[in-house]
Amino acid sequence: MSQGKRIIAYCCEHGGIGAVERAEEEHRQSSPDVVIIPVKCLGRVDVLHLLQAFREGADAVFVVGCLEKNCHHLYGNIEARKRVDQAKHVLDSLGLNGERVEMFNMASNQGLEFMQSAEIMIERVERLGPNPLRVKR
Amino acid sequence: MSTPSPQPPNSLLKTKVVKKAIVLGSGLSASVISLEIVNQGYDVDLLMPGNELINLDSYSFPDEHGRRSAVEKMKIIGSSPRIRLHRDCTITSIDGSPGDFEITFNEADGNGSVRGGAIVLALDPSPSGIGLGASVVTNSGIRGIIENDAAIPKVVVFIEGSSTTMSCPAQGTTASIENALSIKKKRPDAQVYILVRDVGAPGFFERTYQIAQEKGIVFFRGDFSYRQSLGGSGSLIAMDPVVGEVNIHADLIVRDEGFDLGSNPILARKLGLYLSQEGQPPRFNTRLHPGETIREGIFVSRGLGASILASENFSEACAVASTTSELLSKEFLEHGAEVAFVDKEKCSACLACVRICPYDAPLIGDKGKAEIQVAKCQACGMCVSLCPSKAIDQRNWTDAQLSAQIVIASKGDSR
Repeated sequence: MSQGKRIIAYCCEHGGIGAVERAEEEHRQSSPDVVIIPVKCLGRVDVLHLLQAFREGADAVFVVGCLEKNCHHLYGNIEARKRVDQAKHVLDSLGLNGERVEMFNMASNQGLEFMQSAEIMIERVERLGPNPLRVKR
Repeated sequence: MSTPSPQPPNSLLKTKVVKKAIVLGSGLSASVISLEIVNQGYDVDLLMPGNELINLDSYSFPDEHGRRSAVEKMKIIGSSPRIRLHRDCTITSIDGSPGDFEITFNEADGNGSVRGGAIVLALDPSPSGIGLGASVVTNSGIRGIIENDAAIPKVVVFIEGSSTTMSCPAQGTTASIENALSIKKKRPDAQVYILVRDVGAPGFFERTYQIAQEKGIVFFRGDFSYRQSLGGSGSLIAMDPVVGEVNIHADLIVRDEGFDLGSNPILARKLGLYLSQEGQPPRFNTRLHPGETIREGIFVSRGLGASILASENFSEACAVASTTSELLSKEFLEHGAEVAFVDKEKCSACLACVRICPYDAPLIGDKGKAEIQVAKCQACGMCVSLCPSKAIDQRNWTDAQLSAQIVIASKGDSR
């Protein structure tokens, strides 16, 4: 099947999606391996959502939210960071690497930062290899 | 491809908008906001904390034109039949939802209650310098120091915006730059710093900004924090993205004008506004959403009466008035397309949602189960992901919808 990497980005409506749109406006070439799932606020993202992606075969997941102290919903990004840390622990204990999930904070005008964060995740997947759950299936 | 299927109606709650605004405050900005809203065709109830509407002598105007236009406005406001003045108000309760608020209060001659579609806060300015240690004044305070020929300290730091909300000043840095230049003129050896995220110098003010830089006023475009040393004296740490951290031993700190809800936490709680450590309500970016707070239907104007440029006073007040009128112009406000809802079978009334919600939307209802108040929910979904019983879901952002997206995205072969 496809040899491409499968990376999922949860983006909040204000910071993350704003940054994605800004990157498009700046004509930055985005990787086809990164699929964006919009959410209202990162507070909506549960550990379950993060882990489900790995069960379905994603290689890496990252969440992109507003800068800290600047969340549209006051502390949704802080909550999301807690969930991401939980997911990291779970992945580590499963033998998948906790580095496969990461959280980034950016403002809606930081298109370059979004592209850089995507690059970081792509580089990590290249280093860690594809999701072992997917290979065995 | 998906097949369209009938969807449940999106709106759960429809509020008829009461075509009136309630303005709290008695200063210049409160007056200008009231007048502007009346000009848009809506009645205004002005609840004043004090007895007198405004004392123009306490404001400094840069020129005679500004003063004259303010005096004219005050004449209109006293005689306008569409503005009802309530003197010596103490607010006892605030009820209702956006579009239909009800405020009950004690006023000079007995108790009263008013209804209105929107609430505008335009309270008096005070320096929001809590936790900064050094002596803090507002821009109007430093103006007084300069005009009265008082001793000007050696190191003066202007801080624009608030450290916790990271809001940028509405009209930019004009007042601070003007004051900084006056300080330099009075005391050329003074060191003046301006900490600002985003220098705003509209129009011909660009020239003044350039002169300020030539005169040696230092601009930091970044964050700041305050560190208290053991001896009691503190130093301000400015974080500049280019030069890194810089320690400044400030003698005097000049803060943005901001009204002090901190001294009135009861009012803030009644309005449902969450306060930062500086006693300021959180606001959206002032340029994109002028005057809006996190609560729909509640608007806030910084106390601006004392800003240096008359144009600034009026333009912020007009911005707040226009966003308020925009809400009042609607016939109905509809809520509920994206709100969270509770499956009462699963709810164990653990209070997790009540504690996490930034908007106080969930409460434990009559039957001992959580309920989400539709008018208050802003659809952030924090309670949905936190709920340990998975009893909460969000309309149009359901877990099933999210997980369908995850499955498709994780497959990765469809491309």
